[in-house]
Amino acid sequence: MTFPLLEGVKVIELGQNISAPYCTKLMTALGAEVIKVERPGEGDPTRRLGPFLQGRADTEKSGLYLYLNTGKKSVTLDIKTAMGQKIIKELAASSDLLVENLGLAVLSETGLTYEALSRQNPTLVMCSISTFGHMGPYRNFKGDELSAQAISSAMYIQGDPERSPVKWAEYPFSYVAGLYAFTGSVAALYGARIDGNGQHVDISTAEAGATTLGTALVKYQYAGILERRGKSAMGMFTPCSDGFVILSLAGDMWYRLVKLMGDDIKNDPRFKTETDRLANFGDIEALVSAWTLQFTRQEAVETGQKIGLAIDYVYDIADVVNSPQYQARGFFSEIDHPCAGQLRYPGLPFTIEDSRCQETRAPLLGEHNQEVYTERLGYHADDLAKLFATGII
Amino acid sequence: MLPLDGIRVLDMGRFWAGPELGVTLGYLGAEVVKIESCSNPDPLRLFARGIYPKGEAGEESWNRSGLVNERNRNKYGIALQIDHPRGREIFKRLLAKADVLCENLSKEGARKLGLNEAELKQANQALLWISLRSRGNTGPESDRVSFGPTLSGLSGILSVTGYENEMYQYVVPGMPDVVAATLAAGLVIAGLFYRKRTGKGLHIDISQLEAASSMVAEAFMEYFVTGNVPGPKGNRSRLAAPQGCYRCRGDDEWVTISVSSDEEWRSFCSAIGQPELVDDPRFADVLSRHKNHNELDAIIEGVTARLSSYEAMHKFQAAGVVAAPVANQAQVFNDPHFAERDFFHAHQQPDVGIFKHRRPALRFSGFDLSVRLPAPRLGEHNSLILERWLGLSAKEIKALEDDKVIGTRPDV
Repeated sequence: MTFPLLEGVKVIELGQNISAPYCTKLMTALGAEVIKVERPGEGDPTRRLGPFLQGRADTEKSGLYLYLNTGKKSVTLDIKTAMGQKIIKELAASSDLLVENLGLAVLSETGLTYEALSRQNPTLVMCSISTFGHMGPYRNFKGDELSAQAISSAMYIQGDPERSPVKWAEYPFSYVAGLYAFTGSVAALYGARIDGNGQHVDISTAEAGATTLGTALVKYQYAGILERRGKSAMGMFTPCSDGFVILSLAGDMWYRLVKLMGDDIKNDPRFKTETDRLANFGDIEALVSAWTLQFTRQEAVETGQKIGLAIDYVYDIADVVNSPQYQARGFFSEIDHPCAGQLRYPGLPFTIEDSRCQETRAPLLGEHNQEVYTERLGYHADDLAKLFATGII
Repeated sequence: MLPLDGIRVLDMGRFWAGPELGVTLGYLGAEVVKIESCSNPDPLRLFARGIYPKGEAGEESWNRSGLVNERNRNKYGIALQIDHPRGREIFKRLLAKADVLCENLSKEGARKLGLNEAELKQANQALLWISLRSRGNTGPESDRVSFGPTLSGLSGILSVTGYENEMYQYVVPGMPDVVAATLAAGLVIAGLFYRKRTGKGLHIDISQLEAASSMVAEAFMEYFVTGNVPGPKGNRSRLAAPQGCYRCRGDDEWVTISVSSDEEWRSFCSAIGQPELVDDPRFADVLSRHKNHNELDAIIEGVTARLSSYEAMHKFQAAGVVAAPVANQAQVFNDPHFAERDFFHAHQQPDVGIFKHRRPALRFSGFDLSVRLPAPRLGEHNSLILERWLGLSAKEIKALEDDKVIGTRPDV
């Protein structure tokens, strides 16, 4: 069963790479119509990024593009031309939402600002995603995932204390920014339904990432302590006989651990209160490591989980794919594609009434030019031919 | 005007994910009521990790937890014993008046409180029930216990984090709780669209683990497309060179730099006062710069070592090159950019004082996001909410207090 929560919502995406495309991908799964505007000839840069099937670059076989753009329609358009800008304005005039992450400079250059786009459509919601956001002293700075992780203080708490800070995965903050864009956009759309007023939503990837940082910012604010990268009191990486597991000591986990490790550690004055345990974290780690080393990972995890202790495996990507939980829940789905063929993809991380949203494939470059330009915007075949000939489409 | 004005939310969240969803909905205008109980308050009231004002737990320590303050602003708070028959009855009546129920209880916890399809639909046909289970509502491991650090291992995130080709043995700084909660907030609103059309409620369940895996989707696509199991890539990039994290003048001060095009490379060479590098064959294009990255890094650090991290950012940004300081927590709070964007909201709490907490990463031209309510003390609004939502009289409320169905002190 599908639940098209956003049925009837019309979205234009002027997106590239991760954040804006991820935002609108979620919307297609919920029944919105998303028209993705791509550069003629090349398309979204992720078409050239890969990973590629058979290791060969191909606009229609880039794994990341295929994942990020499920369910969308694709049109090609050169928005640097006057005609291209005119067409965007026409599309915006009959849409509910426009999501973009092209950057302030491109918006100014092309005149595709919120003011210009909402003139003919006061209920239009425009959602902009950028590293630093569209206002503030750094608004004209160029940014990327690495700079978002740096300025948000994420990198300060990431890595080996004796070495340079290190980036977290490849693009996590970009995905999180896409999620905030999703939520901000639907909030603004909901408001527009109530009072007819559209607006501009401004999402900063750096801010989005900063909100995911557990306790560091709060700890500094309340106790003036700077948290630096290195071992963490909240999550222990501990060796078993055949690999590593992670243990979390949040909440009342300590009491469960103690049940397993015995009375000595329970009565140790170093570990009496939570504050003591935080201060003597290193000692706890040494004792836990000595203890887990006696077991295989499976023994440690099964024994711990049986009494509700948060202890678990460290999986690589193949392990995750084959994990019983993901297999049972059908987190990965297969989608067929005319060029890429049958491929597996991560699904959406939620269920509605216990069922997954069905996703449909990503579009070919410009696949919906005909449909959008003639049926929706009313251009004739000859106009289209001219636009193709001049490279505008 | 705020979009969720008039929407009533019951927030049974604990720790982070559930409460964060409540904060976001509260910021967007909803009337959010945090439901705890004296026998089982939010664990962060009791295990506050030492995060108290000036590190001092104080008299009513359960009302002074910094983490509770951050994750429960813009909410009312009641402490109701749902396991008491009269508490259960009140809970059902509250459900009937609510638009949204959000929680991140374990499956067992939810079961114990009678949160199942049948009971909830009976109480309220149009209820939007959002659960944020750590591994989802179904599956062989749905009863297992997890927190952020263990989810980072299970999701695959840890396996693609860290220095190139080395196993990463620390916990990642970012937790999936906020990721799941932010998505959940959007899904609540999408659910409200659906409810407006159909009059029906829904159960939406977000798996924090799947939300975490979604943050490394490109790693899964690499595996599905090539069969290779990806590992950590460090600070460098396939597409940009040079890219990295470079030491600056101060103690443990660093700046990140990414040069993504030959044009930026030329600008960068001028900015570091070494325009002749443009003609250096070792660095002629991205491929060569990659090949000779170590040498290039040494040259760059020769320059950045003389600058503060913020000086380096301004200098390179002025040349059109992506650069940002590796800020520490103090620097984030003092950054004029975050200040102008009103990223931190100060709010006053009785017995705690004034502290700044970051807002959700949302800025709207048409909505003014602010802290209308400080995080509630345990059971602070028992009377207010029971009177406002259910019309209970002062006498009825006093009887509930006397029978310990509601209260304000932990009874653990």
